[in-house]
Amino acid sequence: MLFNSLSFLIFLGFIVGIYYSIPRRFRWLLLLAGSYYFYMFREAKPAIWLASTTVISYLCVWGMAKSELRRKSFLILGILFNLGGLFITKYLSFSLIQFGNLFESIGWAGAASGVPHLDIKYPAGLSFFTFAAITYLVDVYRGRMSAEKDLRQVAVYISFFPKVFAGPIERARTFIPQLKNRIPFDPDRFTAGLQLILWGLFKKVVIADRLAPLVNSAYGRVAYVPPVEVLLATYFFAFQIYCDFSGYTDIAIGTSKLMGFDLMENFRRPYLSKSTPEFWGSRWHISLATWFRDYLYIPMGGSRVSSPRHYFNLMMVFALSGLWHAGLGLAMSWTFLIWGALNGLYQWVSVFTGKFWKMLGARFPKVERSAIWHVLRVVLTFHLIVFSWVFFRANSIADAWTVIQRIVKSLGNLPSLIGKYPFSTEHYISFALIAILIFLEILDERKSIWERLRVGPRLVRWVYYYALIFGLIIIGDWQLATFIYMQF
Amino acid sequence: MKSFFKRIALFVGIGLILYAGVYCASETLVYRYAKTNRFYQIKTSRVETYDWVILGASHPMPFDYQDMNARLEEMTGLTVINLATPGNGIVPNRFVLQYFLQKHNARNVLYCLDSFIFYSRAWNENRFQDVKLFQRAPLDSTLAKDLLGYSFQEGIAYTVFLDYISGFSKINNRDRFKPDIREDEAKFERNYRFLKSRDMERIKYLYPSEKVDEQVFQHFLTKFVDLIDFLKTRGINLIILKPPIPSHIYEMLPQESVFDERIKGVLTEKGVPFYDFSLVANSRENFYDTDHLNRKGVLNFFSNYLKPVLVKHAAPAPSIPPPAVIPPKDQA
Repeated sequence: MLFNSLSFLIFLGFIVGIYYSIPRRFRWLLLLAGSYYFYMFREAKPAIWLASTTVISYLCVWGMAKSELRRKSFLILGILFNLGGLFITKYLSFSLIQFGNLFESIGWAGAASGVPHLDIKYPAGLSFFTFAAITYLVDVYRGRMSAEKDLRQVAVYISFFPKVFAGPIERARTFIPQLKNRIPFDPDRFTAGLQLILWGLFKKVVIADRLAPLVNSAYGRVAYVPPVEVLLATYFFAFQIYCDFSGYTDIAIGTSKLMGFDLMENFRRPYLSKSTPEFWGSRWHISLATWFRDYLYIPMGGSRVSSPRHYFNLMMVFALSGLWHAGLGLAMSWTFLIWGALNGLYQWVSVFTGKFWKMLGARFPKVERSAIWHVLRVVLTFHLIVFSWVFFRANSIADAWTVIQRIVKSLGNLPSLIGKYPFSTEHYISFALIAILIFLEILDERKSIWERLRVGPRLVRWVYYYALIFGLIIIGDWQLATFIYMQF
Repeated sequence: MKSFFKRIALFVGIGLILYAGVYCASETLVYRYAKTNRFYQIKTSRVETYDWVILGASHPMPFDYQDMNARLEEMTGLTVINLATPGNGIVPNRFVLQYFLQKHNARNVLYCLDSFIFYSRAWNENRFQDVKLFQRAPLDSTLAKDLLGYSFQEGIAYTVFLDYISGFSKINNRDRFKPDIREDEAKFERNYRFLKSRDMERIKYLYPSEKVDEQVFQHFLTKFVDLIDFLKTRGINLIILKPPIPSHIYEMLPQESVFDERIKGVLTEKGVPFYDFSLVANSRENFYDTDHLNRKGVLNFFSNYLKPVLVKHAAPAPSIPPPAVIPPKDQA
């Protein structure tokens, strides 16, 4: 069930309506049943993964609680089960094909064609809910939270419908206690939830889905479209992926707020970052970045190790993050590993040059505090990230290389190429929407827009809401079904 | 709490008023720019009774391109309205016809038949989910009622009805300021260069499965017979016709001869004339794509085949035979 569908609207109205009408002791049942219904809406079979992740994780934690001696064994078992499932469904087929190609290239004839075709379908959301289950296992092991005796709470935590498909990757220690709290209806929180849903839908349906065809058209034929189109598509993709992902997360967080739950913030105006560490550390996909930090980077030693080991830890985290992203909506490819490694390289450069920039800042404090310097840093960081998105979006490494070559070769003639390019109405609308987005994000960076609206006149608030709602209705891309009349 | 719900009610109320305003604006744009939408044509036509209504999927659509319909009316001296729509099977065609008959009268119906419409819900019940069918359809309570009825009787998605009465896809139409055009009409003058790969793609598109699901076929055959009976009760003559397609395309149609036999059987039983013009006037220069007649092909087909059929069957059959008249010797 998609967030931007009539079915979800009806489903949400039903769930929220019943939620506040039934006694609190039955709410877990509504949330659990609703979450499984939501998950199984298109296909029921993958729910087996959801259920087994829940039960196995619960049993492993129960085992940890019961047996001090075997705590580590149960932890490893739980993690292996979750990561094993992820590997089998997401990476096994791709890995076998790559090994087959490798053996074929070194002389083992027939290796590539001999690879068995595995008909294993990746269950939607597995990357997210397995990571959520791992936070529960590890946090109990580390003593950050006590084992939850009630399977129902664990089941709701892992399957909670607003976040099951695409996060945020909520921590068990912050979410499960909320399930036990008495949550009366709060008009302010309810309104905040609706605001977030509205803004999330606007980003997804009006901006992201409108940019998608322009990006797909260029990246589907990178060698043939004009270089201006490739360049535009690359910039557009940066906003498409941001609006798509953050829009979805906003809807998830807003939906949770309607029922009184607070999920963690997942995106914080990432393209206003002044450095790539800031981008990854506190602005982009925060729940995943902190997951990797807390459950991989820090256990590996983080930065409190020798310098070579620190660099290794950084690269390992980003490479694995790249692999984690592989297959999420786009075909599985080595480009994700390159994307991850490239961002790892950015972290290396930041660490390596960190002391230099600090010294420079201390030497020229006025420059460091100036608006121009701030803007320069933001623009540079943005372009470093956009460059890495080329690998994320391209269909292959060859395509990514083609994109980069074509853009670089056209830089000298860019003004004249842009002058001659036949921009369409769609382009102008897209530029306008991106400009509006950037403007609102800059406003939000100075002071929260919701806060501004909350204290401002009701008229301004309502005009803003109506603008978003009618923007959605009039220019939103709702993926309405159309008949594909095959033309020749 | 009460004040919160009051504010929500006020917000929703104002929102509905604004929505109504936007809806009216969209409806105005429909009347300004809709030209080819069949429901628009039906609602705005001033002709009370038509001699011929043409139904079908995309094959009879060229009969309505450019000035073809006017030429056909001129040739035959009859009033003709073409209600064919690409991809429309029996269920959507009947829907369009029913709506038409609530606004106008028809003496005769010509149904240009294709076999693929009997093999899948994609051309029938699911076809209604194409927003473009109703995006430029004027708001009409009759049409709304019919859609609601079809949701219950024919199992079409209820969202189609909701979308129509809410006008959502009308308001959301990206091409709201552009006139309706039929993209194929731009190719009407061309001669197609046939390519085997495209031919096979076309066949695969129309017939995704080579095997016929007998249950599905029977389901749509029953719908077809119901349509025949419906027209009979209204006293409307029905002719079934298969328009020309290239011979090599005809040969690629799966189990077409079996289909023809079954349809002929039903039509003979029901006393419905059937004209199979699949392989007449079908040389390759008569087509603008894999299987649709171009201007030259249509005019040729009109003059030599369609006109005689329409004229012959347009004359209402006398209920009492006229008295035998022996002509004078010089007029025999």
